[in-house]
Amino acid sequence: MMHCRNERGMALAVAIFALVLIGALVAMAFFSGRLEQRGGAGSVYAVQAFEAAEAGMADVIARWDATAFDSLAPGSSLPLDEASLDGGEWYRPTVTRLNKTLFLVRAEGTRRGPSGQFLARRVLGTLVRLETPGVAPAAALTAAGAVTLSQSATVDGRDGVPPGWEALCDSLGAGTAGIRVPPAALVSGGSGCESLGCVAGAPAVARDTLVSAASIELLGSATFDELAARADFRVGGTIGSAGPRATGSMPARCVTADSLNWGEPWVGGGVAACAGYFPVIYAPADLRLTGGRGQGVLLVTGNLELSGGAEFDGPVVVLGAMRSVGSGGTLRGGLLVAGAAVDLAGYSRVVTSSCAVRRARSGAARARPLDERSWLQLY
Amino acid sequence: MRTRSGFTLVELLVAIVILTVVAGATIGLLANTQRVTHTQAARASLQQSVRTSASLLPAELRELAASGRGADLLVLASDSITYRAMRGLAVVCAVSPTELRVRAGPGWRFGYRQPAPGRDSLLLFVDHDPAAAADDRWLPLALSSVAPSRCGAEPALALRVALDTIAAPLAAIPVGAPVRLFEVMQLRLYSSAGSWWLGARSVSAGETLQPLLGPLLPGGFALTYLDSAGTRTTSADRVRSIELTVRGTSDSVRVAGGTGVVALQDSLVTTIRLRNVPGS
Repeated sequence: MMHCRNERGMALAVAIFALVLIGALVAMAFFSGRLEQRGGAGSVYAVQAFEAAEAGMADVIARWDATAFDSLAPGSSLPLDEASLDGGEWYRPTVTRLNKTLFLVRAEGTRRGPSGQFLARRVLGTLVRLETPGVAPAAALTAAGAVTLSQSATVDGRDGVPPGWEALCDSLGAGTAGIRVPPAALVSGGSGCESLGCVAGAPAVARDTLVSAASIELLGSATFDELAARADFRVGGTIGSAGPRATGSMPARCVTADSLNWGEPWVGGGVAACAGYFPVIYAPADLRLTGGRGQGVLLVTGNLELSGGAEFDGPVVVLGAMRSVGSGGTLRGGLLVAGAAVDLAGYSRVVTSSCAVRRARSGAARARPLDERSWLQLY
Repeated sequence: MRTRSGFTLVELLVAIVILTVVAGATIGLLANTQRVTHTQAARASLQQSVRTSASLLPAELRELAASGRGADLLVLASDSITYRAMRGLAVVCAVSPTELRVRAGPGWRFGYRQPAPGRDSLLLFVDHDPAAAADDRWLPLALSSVAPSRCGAEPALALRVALDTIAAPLAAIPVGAPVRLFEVMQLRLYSSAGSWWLGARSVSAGETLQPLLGPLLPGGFALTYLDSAGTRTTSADRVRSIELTVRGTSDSVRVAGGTGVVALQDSLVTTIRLRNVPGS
């Protein structure tokens, strides 16, 4: 027999109320914890975005693309490709040319989530100054000591253009002296260069009281040592295989970390990726070039010997002596020798080229943050 | 016979005992949960405050130049610092002895806010010899007014200044010269209504101290100035990094499982490497 009991009470209501209340309080605690966790993560993301922006600025400055940035008109900007770091950080640099020598490098650093959404963003900047090698040869060969020419060696002060550079050189200069030496320096021509017939220029030989070993070491606004200090790399000994080096992958990139990559002077027929690369190369001791090719600025503290048909386009400054033998080599731009003797023999050519000097100086220009207040937070 | 419904005395007593036990347990649980929630909220607030110091203060201080001509660290103390706070960058598009015009078009606005005369001053880059870096200068200039202007067809701002053309010949200020905007700021630990706070004020605008972070423990904001070797220094031109210590506290909370009320504490130590110093 069933009883229909009419039971009344509040236990269920109290239990439900208590559960709801406890649930709400627990949810609040979890919510608070969640907020805390998100706040902490936000701080980490902000730091990661900041670091990405700093990495972007450092990357642009370290791998300064002199050719691309030098073509910017003052007031114009060049956005560069976005790059990513490990862990979802990205940077997008922009280079703005402020005037002839100053640039603003900006980098927007971002931290992104798995689906690419922005979690944090920071924009930083660096003011950089373009430092251009000041070397400006006033003759095909400027020497502080005696000069001897023989065999098939030639020195030509008429302004020339390296082969294949015609489209890159707007106009030719008036040319320079062939050889520029101090008044008392001996300049002599041996077999094959009797009466200095192998020297051309206006004049063929200029005697200038301003020429000395000390003056040759002064390269515009910087000294030889200052320029050497910011060389791209140091070399020495015997080098016969200097030349352009590029990656095999497409698009090919010039491998600027290789100390034997001296750029590509053979425009149109060589390694195109390195045609705009003009390193500053420093030899702290003697250097023998037995072949190969390159472009930029070559600085040699010791003696320089040229053979094997080596080629170099751009200024060459030698503090020791200079000699060429055998099949010699070709130097286009200007050769400055502070040492006691220059002995050019074999098939050697030293040619004035204002275009080679101009392009080498421009291409070898490097960006350096201003000494004071270069770093900026751009919000 | 009448049917009597109801509880017996025994039933009632048992029900009352059970209800008391259940209610006691529920109230205890509720109270504990509430304490956890309050403690959690207080901890979150405290950590948020400390975390804010980790993002705000480095952003404010790392751009300072501590040495060279016209350093930005003006007054150094362990519980306060007075400094030139960088507020923006502008680029000159025209210059005269009384006016700098700076680009203001799209892509040329860099900074925290627009220049404010009275509050802000300028540092103008003077480039005597563009080929040499050794003679570069940042010349401080007072800003007396700002007005919309143009550089050719481009929007610009006209910044009224008094330029010393001997120290800064107009030829040494080419188009494109950068101008930095700054105000003199002070950060200081102070006490108000029994609590300690980190306050900030614009010295150049003549402001009073406003709370920035807190509440802090007594001595809860400390700065240690370090040179390039990581050694303490009191010389502004030798400072290369600043060690920041923030020790925060919360309102008093009753901790779950505890007997009394306590104030939570948290601390943060971070080193801010100055970016505009030699060797940075």
